[in-house]
Amino acid sequence: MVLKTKKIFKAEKESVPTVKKFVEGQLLLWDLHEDDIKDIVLACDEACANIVMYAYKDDKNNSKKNFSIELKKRGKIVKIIITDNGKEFNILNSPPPDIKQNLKGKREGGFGVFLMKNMMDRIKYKYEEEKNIVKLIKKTI
Amino acid sequence: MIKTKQAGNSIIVYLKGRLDVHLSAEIEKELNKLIDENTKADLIINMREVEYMSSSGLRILVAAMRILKEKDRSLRLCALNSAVRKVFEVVELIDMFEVYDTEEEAVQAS
Repeated sequence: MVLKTKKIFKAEKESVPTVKKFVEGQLLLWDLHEDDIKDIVLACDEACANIVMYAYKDDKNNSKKNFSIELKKRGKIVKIIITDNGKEFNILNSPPPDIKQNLKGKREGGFGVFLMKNMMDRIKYKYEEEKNIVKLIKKTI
Repeated sequence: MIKTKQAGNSIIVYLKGRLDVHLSAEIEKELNKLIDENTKADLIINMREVEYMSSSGLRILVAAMRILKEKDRSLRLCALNSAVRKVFEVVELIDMFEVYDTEEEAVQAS
């Protein structure tokens, strides 16, 4: 049996805590282990932060600046599908953070995607019908 | 407004709640103001009431450490919960920071 739920959010910073509540709330209902919930929530936060910060950055005309999160659970496998219609961006191509450069102030960041990759077991990406579709997959305890 | 307390040559800063993209800009602004206004003080950030931190929060702390280092001042963190500590460990930054279990230990380290 597949359990699933989906919600749409506005691509703005204020949505990120709401995303956290939505994902956390649903995973609690599905009775996931606390550690898995924390990992998945953080990964979702990072994915959504990227969308709100960058996906629509130069896009002043897009009246649909939003993104959707779909949560699915089948057995021990949880999948989170995050979709936005901002500019094409493959997160899997993001370079890992350079700690030394970060500490010098020369290249800030890179930690978000790195955290996502470490919190989840697999991440898939595709760009289809002008949408970025990121799939986060975790095998839970 | 972030709560602070003087402790010898250090200013203790009490962060609370979520350090995520929603609030990080405001927090960063306040931290930078504290660093500028207290020109000789080291900073101790008490994270006991920080329930959650994403990379946005981490970025603020990295930036604060860098700014303080440039001014020959130090940044110490204390009272990280396990979830916050995990974020530092995963990105392998835990050893780059001075991290203490308690505020008392962080103060005594100065």
